[in-house]
Amino acid sequence: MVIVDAESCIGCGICTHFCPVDALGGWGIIEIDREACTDCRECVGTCPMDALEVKS
Amino acid sequence: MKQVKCDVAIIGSGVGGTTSAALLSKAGYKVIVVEKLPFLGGRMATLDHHGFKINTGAAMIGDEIHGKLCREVGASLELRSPESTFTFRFRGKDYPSPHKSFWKTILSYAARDDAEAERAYRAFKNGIMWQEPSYSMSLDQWGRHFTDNPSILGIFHFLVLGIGINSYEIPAGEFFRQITEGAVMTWASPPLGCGQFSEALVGAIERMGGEVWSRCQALQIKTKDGAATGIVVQKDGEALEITAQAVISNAPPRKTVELAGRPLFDPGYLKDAAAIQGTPMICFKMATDKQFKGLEGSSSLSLVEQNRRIFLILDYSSICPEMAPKGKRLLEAAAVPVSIRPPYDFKKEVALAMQDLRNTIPDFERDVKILRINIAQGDWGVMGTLPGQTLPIKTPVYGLYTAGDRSAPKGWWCSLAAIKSGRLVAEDIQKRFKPA
Repeated sequence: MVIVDAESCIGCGICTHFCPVDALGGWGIIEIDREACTDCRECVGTCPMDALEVKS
Repeated sequence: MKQVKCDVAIIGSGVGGTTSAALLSKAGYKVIVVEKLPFLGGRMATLDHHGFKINTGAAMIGDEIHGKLCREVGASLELRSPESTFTFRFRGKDYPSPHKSFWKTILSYAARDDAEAERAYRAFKNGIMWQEPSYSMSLDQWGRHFTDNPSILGIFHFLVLGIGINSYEIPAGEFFRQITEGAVMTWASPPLGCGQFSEALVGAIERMGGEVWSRCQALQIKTKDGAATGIVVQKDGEALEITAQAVISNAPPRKTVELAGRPLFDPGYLKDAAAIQGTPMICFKMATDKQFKGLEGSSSLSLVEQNRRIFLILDYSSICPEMAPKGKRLLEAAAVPVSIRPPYDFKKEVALAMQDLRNTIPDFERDVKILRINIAQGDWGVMGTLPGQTLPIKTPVYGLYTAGDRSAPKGWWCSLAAIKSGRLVAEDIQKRFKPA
């Protein structure tokens, strides 16, 4: 499961462009729509601040 | 570990990295640029959002500096200047941005009478032509010394909000040096957003034999006897050593220190590097079907004093209709927090900015769809550092340079600073290292 490290996320929105199912959103700090997220992990590695992490 | 060789290894594909890479490639150096993210350009990139072209940072660039660099390195770049004017709103009344005598005219819009306009213009001209005001006072303090007119003070405030800073937080001297050193007279955008500038530079680097790798994270800056010898990166799941005569880091200084190892840096450098801090901005990326009342025939609305947070609404579609799907327009509104120093209360800042948008755009709720509210701050700031607080291009490690807006001379700002810095690094490398 991908999680957002709220301490590191600055809300730049870069990751939202890489999610194929638009599961990343929120105004400012990123929130993950768990219903929509397919855990494809496309977003991991797109964050300039390394705030997206995979947690099992 | 696998090894490859080049003359100069560059960490980061932001403007500082691509500028130095393009200039060095032109001078015959073999460069390899590594970028950890899946796209190139850093805060000078454009990403797609359902057909809308969203800039990751820079919203406008200029022909005098960006265009000139592209011509110099053989990169082809189309730039479009707004044909229609920018509109300035003072006390609820709209004025077109002057084509000639910008300062004199804009100050006369704001002044209550001719004598006040003349006094303001003289003070401004003095700061440019005679004595640079001190770095020990803010721009706002400088302004209050000759006027109490909120519209005049508002002009200076507005002009620095664009770089993510309040007039009461920028040193007066820095503002004036920005005008005399790093000024750009004509603002423009490539048809598909500012990312096309980075794409043009990357294309030129590759044509000249350089390499630019995305999704390639730097793990270490290698040194021997206090001198940089290359970098280690993660490429396609494997560690790879890139040996080089010189290394340029376009990453934030704290990251550069971490990659090379703290013991190599003296306490003064570490202190200066730790003080580097980006400036914040909240950008509302918005879609609409039609241009709202107040922005017709214009490409942007500059809100000089009446709003609490939103100071600019830009209509990209009036310059580059390609940036939105057919029939739609792409707008961007920008706001700077009450203080550029953290901690920020973005929830409150967004709420105030939203109120401003409702007050400024008629039928906002009905006609405008917010695509994203993006926040720039910290290492992903509007500017990578506070004005006037920059590092030199050289680090204490021989052969290790930093390029980008955090290591430009005073008076240079945003992507102009990154280009200036990239140029200085490329020049210095050519003096010290010869291509193999």
